[in-house]
Amino acid sequence: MTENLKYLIIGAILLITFFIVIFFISIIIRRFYRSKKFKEIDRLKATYKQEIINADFLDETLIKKLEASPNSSKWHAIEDLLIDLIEDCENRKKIEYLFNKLGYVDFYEKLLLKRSVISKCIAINRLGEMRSKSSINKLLDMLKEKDPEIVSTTLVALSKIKNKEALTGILDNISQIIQSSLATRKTLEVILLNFNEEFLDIYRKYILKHAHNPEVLKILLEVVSFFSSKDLIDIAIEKTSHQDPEIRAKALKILGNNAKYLDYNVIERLRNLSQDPAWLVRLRFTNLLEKTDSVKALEILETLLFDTHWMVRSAAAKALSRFEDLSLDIVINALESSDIYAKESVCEALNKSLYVYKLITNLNSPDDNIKKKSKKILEIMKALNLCHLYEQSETKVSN
Amino acid sequence: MELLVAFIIFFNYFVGIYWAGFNFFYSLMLAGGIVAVLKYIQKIKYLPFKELTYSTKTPPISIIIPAYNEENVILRVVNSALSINYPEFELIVVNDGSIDNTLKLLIDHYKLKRIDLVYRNILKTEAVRGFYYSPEIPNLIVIDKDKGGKSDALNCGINISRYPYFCSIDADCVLERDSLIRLITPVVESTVPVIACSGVVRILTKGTDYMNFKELVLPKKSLLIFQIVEYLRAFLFGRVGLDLVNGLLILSGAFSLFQKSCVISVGGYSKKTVAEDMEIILRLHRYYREKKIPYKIRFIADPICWTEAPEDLKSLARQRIRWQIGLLQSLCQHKNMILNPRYGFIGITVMPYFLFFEALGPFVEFLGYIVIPLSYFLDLINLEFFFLFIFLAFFYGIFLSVGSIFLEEVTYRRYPKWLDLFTLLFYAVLENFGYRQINSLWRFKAVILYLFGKRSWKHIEKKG
Repeated sequence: MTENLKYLIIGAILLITFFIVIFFISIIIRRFYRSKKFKEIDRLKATYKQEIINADFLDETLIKKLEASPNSSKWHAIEDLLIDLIEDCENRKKIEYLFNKLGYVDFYEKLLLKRSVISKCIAINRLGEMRSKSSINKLLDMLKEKDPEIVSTTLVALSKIKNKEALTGILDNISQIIQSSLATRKTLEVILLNFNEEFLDIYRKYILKHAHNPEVLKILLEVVSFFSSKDLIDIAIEKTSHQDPEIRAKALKILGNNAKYLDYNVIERLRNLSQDPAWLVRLRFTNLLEKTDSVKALEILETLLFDTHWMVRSAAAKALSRFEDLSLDIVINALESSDIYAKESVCEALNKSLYVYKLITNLNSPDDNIKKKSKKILEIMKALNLCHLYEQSETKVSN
Repeated sequence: MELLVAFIIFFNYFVGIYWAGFNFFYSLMLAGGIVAVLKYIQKIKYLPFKELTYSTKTPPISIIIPAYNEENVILRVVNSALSINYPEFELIVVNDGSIDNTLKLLIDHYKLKRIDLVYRNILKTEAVRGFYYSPEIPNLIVIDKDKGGKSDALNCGINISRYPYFCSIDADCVLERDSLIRLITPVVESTVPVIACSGVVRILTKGTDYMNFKELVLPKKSLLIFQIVEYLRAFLFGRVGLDLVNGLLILSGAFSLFQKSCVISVGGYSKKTVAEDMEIILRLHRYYREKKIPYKIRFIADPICWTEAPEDLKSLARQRIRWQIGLLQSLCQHKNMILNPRYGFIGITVMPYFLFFEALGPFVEFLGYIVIPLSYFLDLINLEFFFLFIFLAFFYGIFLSVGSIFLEEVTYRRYPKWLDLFTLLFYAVLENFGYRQINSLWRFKAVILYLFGKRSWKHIEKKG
């Protein structure tokens, strides 16, 4: 047994030594090989770049010149070069044609049939980078896969292709994707945002289609909340009475980003949302009031200063500080109230918006009324230890 | 005498089994690490970094930098953080009662003005003295507070942060431009909530342009090169291997991202340990497993943060002793998770591994240095076996280190010069002849110090 153990240890040492040598050799060969390969790829890219840019649309001579066997250095060089150039709109049609003609699209569409998830995802990603419109149907089939990695990568690829078919395909499958947790909400929102306002009609259609599917509706409303369009107003107003508070909040976010199209009377009709049971809805309503820039909003903002949730109070205070001298009375009322949270929110907003500097400047205002009110506010802030600037300015004056 | 002989024989067998068990785990981690890293470098080709870099929907992050007496390095870390490619973030520097010019440097350099904000003490901290802000850099805020330690400073930063995620960075670090976007991408894509994650921490070399990362070179000091090899081993297969099984117990405090609500729900960072980075992870595991909420704690093998490392033996010793004491403290504080099936794989496998091998390993190793020569003198050990075993141990150590250099070559290739590559390979061999042994000695010292009641730690000054 002792002999066996000895041979076992010697065997283990030899095996480990073998692996060490393998690692050494692999490291050196790999580095050497890759250095050569990338030098060659860079050389080929530099060689063909201007030719491709200057070439006619249907130049068969050039195509013959660019042809290469799949996975060769030339193949990778041309592929990288075309992907760099496709960002440029002037060359885009030519580059898309070249991707098809040189066999890249076929190659990666065949890779979609492989079992390996990584191979599929590489292929999907490449087809997206090539903006391969002819591959949309095959990519939409990938949305039916059960692997979240494949589905997420497909969504990104379709968002790079960025046309009506791609967006429609995504939205047709969105419900099933969410139900099966094949992509996160964040991923969906990020990729859908790539489809900008040009696609608003499609988004409107699907918002109506998914009116009874809150999970999809939340995503679609979140996406369109980044768009600026009068056509969103009617949808948003309708959704402000939805039973789901998150949907109501997103509807208000849409209205907030399109406040320039809104008459204040519309907002007045939504006044009850300032008393909504969900704080997020009240917060969004406060943000909407801030965006209206209407003096009529001051009254509602005053009540929101005393909201139970600190984020709503902060938002109300921030909105008020934008009105500067017009909101002085409301600020004084808040600071004289017994609600310490309202006071803190107001003081913080005055500091963050730097309006506190204006208040100090107001101390020299020719308007006595403004001067008195500003001084009152600063005194209260100083008493709360939230206005060192005023303390400093007082010290300077006394010195 | 008979008892001594019996003990020595038992210990020899014990060391053999212990060593085999320890290296079995390491081999599993290495194998898993290689597979995972090779897969990940394929995945990087299609992860949506670019889309997230320019998207307004990318989760905003609060970067929190706790700083105590960091006047030599503070501007470097703040400049690097302000230069990152990330759509929306805020930078919170917490001056934790520094007695040098840390605060003054920040105020003068960034032209900060004092501003009065409401401080909501959600996680209880030492008193805040003031806030500093510049409208020209609206996403930078500096908090000046009374000294409370790193945990306290981080909790203060969490209290003031506005965003759903925060990333803690050490003051002696430098972030790469794409670090955060590479860290957040797998978080965004994961269908299981990722509550915490971390990237790779690498060792800074003086003189390199870290804003542009042109032509990195190895440092000249041997001690730093040893640490580079060690960090590569720890990050590129240790953590990758544990990440595969959602079994990470440590995320590097120098560079880790957390979901803020999760940290608040477990009470924030603890001041009762010198290794707050490990203890918070254990607490998160505990909380989420007890509540049976699906979660992941990830290590992402791609984003990099560069940090200073100790350049002399004394500082290195202090660092390693602190880490070991922190490990022991954290394991003790959560001892009822060990071998407890309620905590799944973490309780049954990972924590016992850390206890028996990482925490007590130096103790066993040190005893080995006494017992094995004693065995030889008492004629209880065959010299041939003794040398074979030593060779096996050394060769295995070399194998692990060279394996990590291989992973570095396959992934980052941050040292493109051939001379640097051969130097790393040379040190991967050399570290097994002295460097690893002295580390074990320090860790053994830490065990003794811990047993005799050492619980706190002093600050090490950064050189910059």
